[in-house]
Amino acid sequence: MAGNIVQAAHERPKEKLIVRKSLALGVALSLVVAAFAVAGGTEEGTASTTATMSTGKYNEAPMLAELVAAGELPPVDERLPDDPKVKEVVEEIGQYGGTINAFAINMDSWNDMGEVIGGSSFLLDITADNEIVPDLAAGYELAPDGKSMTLSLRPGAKWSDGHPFTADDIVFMFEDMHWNDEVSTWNLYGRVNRIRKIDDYTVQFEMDNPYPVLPVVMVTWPGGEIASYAPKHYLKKWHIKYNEDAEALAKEEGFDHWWEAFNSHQIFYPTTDTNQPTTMPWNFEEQTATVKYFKRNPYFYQVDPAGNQLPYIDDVVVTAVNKEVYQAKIMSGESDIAVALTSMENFSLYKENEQAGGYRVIAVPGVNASEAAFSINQNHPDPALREIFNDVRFRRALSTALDREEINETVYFGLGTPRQATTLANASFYKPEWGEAHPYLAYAPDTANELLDEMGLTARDADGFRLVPGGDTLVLLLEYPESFPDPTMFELMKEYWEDVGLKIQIKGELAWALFGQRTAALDHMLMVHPYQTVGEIAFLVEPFRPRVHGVKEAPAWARWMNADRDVNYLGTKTLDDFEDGKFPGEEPPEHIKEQYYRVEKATSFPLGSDEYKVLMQEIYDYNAEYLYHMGTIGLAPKLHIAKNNLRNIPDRFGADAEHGLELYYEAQQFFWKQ
Amino acid sequence: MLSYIGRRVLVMFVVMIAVSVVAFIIIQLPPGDYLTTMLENLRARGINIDEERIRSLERQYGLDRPPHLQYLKWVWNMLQGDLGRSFEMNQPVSALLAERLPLTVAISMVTLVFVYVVSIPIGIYSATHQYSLGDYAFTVVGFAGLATPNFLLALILMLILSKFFGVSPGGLFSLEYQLAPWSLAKVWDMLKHLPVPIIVIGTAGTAGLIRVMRGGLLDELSKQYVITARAKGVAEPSLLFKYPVRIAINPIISTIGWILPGIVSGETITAIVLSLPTTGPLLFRALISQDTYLAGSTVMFLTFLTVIGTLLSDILLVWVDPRIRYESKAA
Repeated sequence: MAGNIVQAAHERPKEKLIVRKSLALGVALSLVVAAFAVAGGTEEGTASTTATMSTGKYNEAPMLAELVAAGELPPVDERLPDDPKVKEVVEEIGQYGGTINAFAINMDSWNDMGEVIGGSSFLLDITADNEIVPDLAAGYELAPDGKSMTLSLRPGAKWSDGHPFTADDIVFMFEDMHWNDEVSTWNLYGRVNRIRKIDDYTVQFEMDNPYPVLPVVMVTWPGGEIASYAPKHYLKKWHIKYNEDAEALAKEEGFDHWWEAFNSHQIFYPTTDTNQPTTMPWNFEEQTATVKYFKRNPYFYQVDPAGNQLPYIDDVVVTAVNKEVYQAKIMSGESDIAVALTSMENFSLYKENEQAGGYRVIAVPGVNASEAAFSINQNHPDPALREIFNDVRFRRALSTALDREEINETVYFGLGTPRQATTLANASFYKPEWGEAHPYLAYAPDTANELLDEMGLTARDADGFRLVPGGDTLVLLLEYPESFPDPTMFELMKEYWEDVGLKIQIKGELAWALFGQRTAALDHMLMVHPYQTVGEIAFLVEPFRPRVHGVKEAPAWARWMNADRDVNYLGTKTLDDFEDGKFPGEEPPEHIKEQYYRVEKATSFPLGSDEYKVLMQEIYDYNAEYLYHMGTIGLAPKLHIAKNNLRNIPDRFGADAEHGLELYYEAQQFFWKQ
Repeated sequence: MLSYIGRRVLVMFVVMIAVSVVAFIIIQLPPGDYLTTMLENLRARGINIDEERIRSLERQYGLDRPPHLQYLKWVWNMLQGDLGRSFEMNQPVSALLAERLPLTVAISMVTLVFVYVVSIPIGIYSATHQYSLGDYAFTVVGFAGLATPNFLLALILMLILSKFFGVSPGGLFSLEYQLAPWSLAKVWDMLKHLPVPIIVIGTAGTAGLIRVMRGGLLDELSKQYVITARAKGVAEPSLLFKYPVRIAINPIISTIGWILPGIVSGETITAIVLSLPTTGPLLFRALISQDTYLAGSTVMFLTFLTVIGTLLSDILLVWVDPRIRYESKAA
């Protein structure tokens, strides 16, 4: 049966595809053809590799060639899309075979080579020049009004079980999962209102409000199988819409309702169903108490420039260990690749054991806008404190009282960059005075003292700490979340601030859940949080959007603003939807409202357009002036540690880097050099 | 005897119910629930999910129901043998426990044997050679063992073995065996990894038992029946093992009951440090991430083992010590 489907997919007319094909694909195709000739001469591979080469257009791993020879798998040319995605390699064309052993600190998906291992299959991809190019999808076309987008797929692309990947899989994700109240999903497409299947390989997304950044969303992880598409052919038997007996099936599997069974089979993390087909380079094959095992996906849709089907590596084993053991595994050389949990603190330890462990430490230039940023509660219940916290002079004083050079030397070996919490310098609209050259960035305790005196905080207690006007000593509670990598920094910050007469109490290692609770209850004062990768595109993708207005530090304003947006901007709600017919929370000042809507509007202009640039500059100008987020040190290097002969490890972050997970996107082209 | 056991079993049920309520309340006590933990973890990575999304997820997980209804559902399912599902692992709790129990029990049993084999003879030696050089030496080692934190010992031993003996740090298997089917080579590989956990988990217990054994035996040795027997010329070894040792061993037997729950949770810290695939780390993780049903059911399982263990040790005591047997008969 699978053979028939493959056949059918293969016979689809090609003219249509060629019309839609983008420039990048054209280049890629010619590369494949050119490189194919070269590969014949240089590929040293085993007998089985050579054998497959003579029969088809593309090469495949020896282990798959054996299966093809045994008749258990169709030939590689039939398994690949008619026109496969060509993935550039970091260093060189690789060799097939081998296993990657990686470690994680728990079984969730956010560790080294975890479930997002493949992250490599996204609908679209982005180049270093911020150009959006095809990936799993063959191309896209955005309507001039930004209210619809057509996405074309690759005929012949397949799920890991050989079933064709079609428009149905995308429509299924939206209509039967995102928009079904009973199904849990990561719906990161809140602005998409309708979806239409035009033919098997074309879908159209429709939005009520212009949303030209839709393709940008598809190059980050929401564009993968976590939020963009799902294997309909596999999942539909658990869905009530496609199977009347879904309830009975769920009961049989030990669930109360059909959606519970459905949710446990779909990829809403963590996946435990090892039968679920994927589009990623490796299939999730097996799980034990501490081990996850992934095996190559014979239908993976990418090839390297020489026409070798990716991935190069046969299988991946991820073992969950404790934090200390994780470091020990790196130094003993058992860990083939480590990214997620390497720390600058252990830098010299890693280097010391480099030779014995047979690995190399790659210090990748960092992309965190600020390793730690801090903000101060704008909605504090105490009116006297609130007046102080709302004063921009107070925030400026806090910022300029810090000796960031010393923090950098002490905590990051001088390898970071003192900067405010703002966008990265590689953004097309960047101004240095937001970040590295911010007026209140340099260490100026005198200025800080002047600002505080000017505010009227002149009275001091017996220890020299400033008093709240007409009250007691002003005590600022500094809280930071658990597992913050470099807490030494906060002790230093405490000293600098006490030097200008502000008494600080540190309360550290707050569980993240508690952190959220405290913010919601308006109990907090100074809160620390990482301010992550905020380049050109992160801003546009809703879940990654950085904090650029005071709303995040002011939960009461946030509630009011969200309600205002739903009623007056998006029109998705009316006043009747709220208790007592009025907005919850507190009404913020005008300038906050303006900034909030600037941020909302930023997504309605195409990436790189003039309106977009102007708006983004306004947003960050405001951010720099009001300083709701004060940065410390940014761009501290991230350590990638790989065994010496594991090659093609990127030494810089890609344009789509998000939160240090960028390496997964490249893992399919890692290989063991013989 | 039978009515005694019957009464104990009845009390067991009451205890189990009380514990289930307390366990559920304690697990619900920290602010938030599994969802808030999950969402804050996402937030920690810079991913913001809006509030409405959260509310719809709450319904999915059944977390929007009032706590007493969640409790009743949990208990009702448990009575039918369904321990619930772990939110975080997306697997039935029973499967998670079943996967980890065999190795946990194996490690604990071997450790137990290690503790008894080491501590009982040393205890006897120390008591019969009181204030000798050997006694002092064992006392020092014993106190050192009691005082050293397990996790530190674990880390140090692990690093030494890995650096100088090439044993891969942490876990129970080397990389090449962890997914392999059972074979002689795999068993051998596991045996190479076992000494560290056994020594680490066993050290504190061994030190404690040596002291208990030594103290108990010393008490007995100075009693008149021993002096009489010795005066009558009973050979020293048979005198020692026939009476005083049998009595001195009683406290050890009465604590067997605590070993059963210890099997599941006792080695938690060591198991976490050494990354062993046992139940301790599972419970710990469940408590951290507020994975209600996994944590609750594991706690219930522990309680069950404690209660059963206490019952067993009481029965054992009655069987081993004639005095208790006759007392209960007289009563």
